[in-house]
Amino acid sequence: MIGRLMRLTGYELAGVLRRRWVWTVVVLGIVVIAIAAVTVSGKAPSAQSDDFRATAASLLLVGGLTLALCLGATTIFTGGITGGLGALVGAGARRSEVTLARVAARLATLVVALATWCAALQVASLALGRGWDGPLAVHVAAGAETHAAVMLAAAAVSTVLGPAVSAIVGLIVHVTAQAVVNLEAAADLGRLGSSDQLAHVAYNLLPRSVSSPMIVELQNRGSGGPAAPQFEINSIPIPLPAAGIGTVLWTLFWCLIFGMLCVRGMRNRTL
Amino acid sequence: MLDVRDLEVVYQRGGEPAARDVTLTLGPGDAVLLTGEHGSGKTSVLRAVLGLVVASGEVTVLGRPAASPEVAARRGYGPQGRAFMEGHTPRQLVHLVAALRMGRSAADIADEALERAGIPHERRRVTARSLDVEEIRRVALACAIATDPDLIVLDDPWEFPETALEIERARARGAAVLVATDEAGGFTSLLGRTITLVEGAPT
Repeated sequence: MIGRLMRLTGYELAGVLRRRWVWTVVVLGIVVIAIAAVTVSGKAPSAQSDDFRATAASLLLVGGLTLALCLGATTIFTGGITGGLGALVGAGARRSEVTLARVAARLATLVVALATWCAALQVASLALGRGWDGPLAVHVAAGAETHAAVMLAAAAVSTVLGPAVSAIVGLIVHVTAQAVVNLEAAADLGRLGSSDQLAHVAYNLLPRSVSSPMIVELQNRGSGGPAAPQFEINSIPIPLPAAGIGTVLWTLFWCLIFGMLCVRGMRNRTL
Repeated sequence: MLDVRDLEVVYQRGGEPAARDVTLTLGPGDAVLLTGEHGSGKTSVLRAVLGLVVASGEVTVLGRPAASPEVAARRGYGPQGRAFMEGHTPRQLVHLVAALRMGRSAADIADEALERAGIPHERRRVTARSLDVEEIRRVALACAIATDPDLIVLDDPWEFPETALEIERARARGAAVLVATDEAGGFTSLLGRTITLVEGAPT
């Protein structure tokens, strides 16, 4: 079974990597990093660091989310309509194997794209004389986990609904995951009044966004840029905590749930 | 080889069946042409035989349920349309199909199937986007015949000389052949038996 899964994953990966939009998004990200490096090069070291990291966070949010949604939303539905999945299942692949292979290929593509941007960011950081930016690398890893959860949510929906709806559901999962983290921070400070308990329940039930120490530090100082604005309620800033190991594991658990939903959704799907 | 009894395929709960009351039996060397207008239920019957759709009634292939993985290894399928390759090359798809059926890498068998389907060497590493419709229909034929399965299922095949040759060859070695097309053409005489579907039901 492992051999068949590897073979199917390789096949699916080859298909995903042939899509021009994947490469377009990755290359555009590298161009944005180069432009950001040039733009901040003349600034004072502290402003340079904040601006560079805020731009990097924006790229990882917008570019990473775009990739995650597009990859996730096209996982199953399109292949079911075109007959691509039927050709494989008709040839003897189990539905679960095809699903896992398609998900694994897309996860690998997402991770490689984010790793490429991370490498480009580190090169830019070195070129600016800032040295290796460890906190930024941690931020990429944190973002990768959140994007993986979003991608898997869209993939699970794509077993029954089309790409547009799947992408919208993925986006809703992303917004919800960020919202529960923000609201939990506000509830911890008692800022939501009678809704504090509701925020705690949502935080303990729903998928969470994995916030890196770098981004919450920028965010809490109001230097996170458009990707991470300072969180306020009634104009009072709410300091956000970085994700702990509990949140990291909880989001991984949700990734597993979404992956299982993908397999379940494929079980009786017409191919 | 293939036993279908009182097959009914319904895609939407409470909706009209796409195929109904279909009964057919194929023994070794037998062949059947399923024909009918576009939307008459031909592909739905094939999907049920391939285990690609939930169907009521009884569908057994080589004595086992249609969705059984053991059956898939002995059943060849040439899909309809031109989008089933999803951006892959003929070589990638047919190599994978052969490997899935054989349970191991089967490059030589896949290459032989591509040869028999009439796909020249220089076109085997070209992506689907660069292939014309005729070439893609030949890839579907190669998928169906790779590993010389016991049951060959062809959905909307084109009438290439290679198609007729492979059907005759398969029947001669005792394999059964099930073909669905809305343009029967020469398949009527080639396959001998015809079932015409109208609104999902045999006439």
